[in-house]
Amino acid sequence: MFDVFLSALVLVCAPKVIALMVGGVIFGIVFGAIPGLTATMGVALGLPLTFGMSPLEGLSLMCSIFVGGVSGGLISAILLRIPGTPSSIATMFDGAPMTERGEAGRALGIGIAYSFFGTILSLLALVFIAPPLAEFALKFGPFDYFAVTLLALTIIASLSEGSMLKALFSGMFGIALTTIGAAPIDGYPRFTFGLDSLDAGFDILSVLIGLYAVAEVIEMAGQPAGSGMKVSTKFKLRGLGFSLKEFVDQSWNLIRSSVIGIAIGILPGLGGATSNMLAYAAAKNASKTPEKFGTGIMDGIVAAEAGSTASVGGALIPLLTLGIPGEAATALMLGAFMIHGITPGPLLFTNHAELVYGIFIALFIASFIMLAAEYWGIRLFVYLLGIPKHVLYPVVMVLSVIGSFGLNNRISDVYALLIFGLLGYGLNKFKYPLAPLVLGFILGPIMETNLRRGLSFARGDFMQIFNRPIATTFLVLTVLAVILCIYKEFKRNMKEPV
Amino acid sequence: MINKYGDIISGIFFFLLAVVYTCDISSIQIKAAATVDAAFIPRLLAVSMLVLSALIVVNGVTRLRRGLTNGGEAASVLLKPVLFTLLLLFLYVSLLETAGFSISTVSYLFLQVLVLSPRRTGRDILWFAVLAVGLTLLLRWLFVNLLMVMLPEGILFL
Repeated sequence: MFDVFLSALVLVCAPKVIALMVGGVIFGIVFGAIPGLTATMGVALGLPLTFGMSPLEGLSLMCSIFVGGVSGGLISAILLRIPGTPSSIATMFDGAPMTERGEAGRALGIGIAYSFFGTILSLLALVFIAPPLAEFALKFGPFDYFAVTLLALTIIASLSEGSMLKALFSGMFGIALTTIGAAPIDGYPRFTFGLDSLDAGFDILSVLIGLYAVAEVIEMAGQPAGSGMKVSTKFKLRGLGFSLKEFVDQSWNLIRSSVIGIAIGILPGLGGATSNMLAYAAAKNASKTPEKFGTGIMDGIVAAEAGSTASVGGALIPLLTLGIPGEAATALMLGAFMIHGITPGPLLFTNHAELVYGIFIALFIASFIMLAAEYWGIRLFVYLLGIPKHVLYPVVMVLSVIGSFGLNNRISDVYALLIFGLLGYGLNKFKYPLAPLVLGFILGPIMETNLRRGLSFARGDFMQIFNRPIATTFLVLTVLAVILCIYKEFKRNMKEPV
Repeated sequence: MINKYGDIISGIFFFLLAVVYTCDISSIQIKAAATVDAAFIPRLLAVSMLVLSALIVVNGVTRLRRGLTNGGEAASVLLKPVLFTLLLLFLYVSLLETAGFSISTVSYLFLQVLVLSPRRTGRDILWFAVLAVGLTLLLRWLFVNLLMVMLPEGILFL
């Protein structure tokens, strides 16, 4: 095992991979920092960059963009009072008042440092939790896999914002989209309507980039135009903005917030956007001076940043061990694996151990690069916040087109990109959540293949699923998630004012 | 309107889509000996989508009767730039293979920046043109030369 670790270390520490990671972290921070561009969009647009790379190079780049993207939002949250990503909303509560008091440098220093600590703690959790979980997942049979994917989809639908019915429909629609093209197992064509270009189904890249980048650009085109934001650069970073005593005082806050972030990251459908708010609320509830929260105190920034960035490692646990992404950014990471012909799941740890270790190492290195890039390059990112949107969005669109064309050199994929861009725009307008659709699209084939395989083994008797304790447990949890869904919808309808 | 009738409109649209999906299930080839065939999951999905979309419509009607909206404030949307953006995108993709990446991208970038920009003075337009050419060359160099990604060359091989 140590040999595998060493060879992975050598591969990741190659100058080319390090350079890619530096570029990836900066790319991610830029997408995280600029309001309107999101970390998910950054990861989506980073995918085409990996086409010509080896799996380790490509995945190191993707991990770096993810790490940078989740953290980058703190810059605009603190300096502009506009969170760059939903993961940095709570950072703004105390970061912005500090800036208004003339302590922008201190707020940024705290944010950057605790964003780093949160990521590192979550990566330690990933390293220690993922391998035993993967070993356990090796026991999964087809029915167990079917049940766990069903549970993941139901949880995503039940935890989505807004209407449960719409979330459930969105998930079903996502699975239905995967039925277009050749069927798994027997390969019979379905819903191709005589079009050869539909024989292989929709490419994951066109779907993801269309939904997350193109739809966003169309949406932004409808917003009143504005020129680039003017951000003051009159701040000074002295050290990290806090003393050793303050660091010791915040240690429990850091641990509690990171644990919340990791747990939320593991759950499907939730991510940094939820964990930073929950960690902030937990810190406020536990504080002896809760009234000071929101006035610009260190505790608030520590909780929010550690909470949001700790979701990074948490979200990667189900992705690497079960092949089940928890939310949009990890769904895109799964896309990166698939582009390179690798299927995440328990076998990844035995068949591609070097790659797994490589990813772990790359994530740690990316966190250090993030710390250095945000600390020393803060003025560059502040400058980039000033780039006008009318220049940024067309470039995002061109990158999307390159990404969807570049994978298979098929113009039909670019048309699919446009269709999914329009679909995403429409779904956003009619308040249908996108995450269940994306997860349905990704989990659909896994679910179908395993259900059909399981039923074939059981000679068509579905009741045999209850002979499997793992599958039964997941099915019971699924039923509980559905009950939660119904309760939530009922409460929503009752609560809403007429 | 979306706030008031959104659920009903979208529900009906998805119900019709589910009907089309259901109708096409009969065209799926089925292996006679298979316990679970290729149409099994589509059948389950079709039923779920029909039921869920119908429930969305019913829910929409109920909420409308109770005077509830779809939630959230209706944000003001500028329709003209959205329509122009969609048109430009469609033209860009249609011309990509024939005109090639460079020509179509320069044209798209220039026109799209022009559509989205709040200012369009003579100096701005010149700046947009320079920007469109510069960005296209940079992206072409990055993807074709550095990342070895193939891009459409078009009839002029550009």
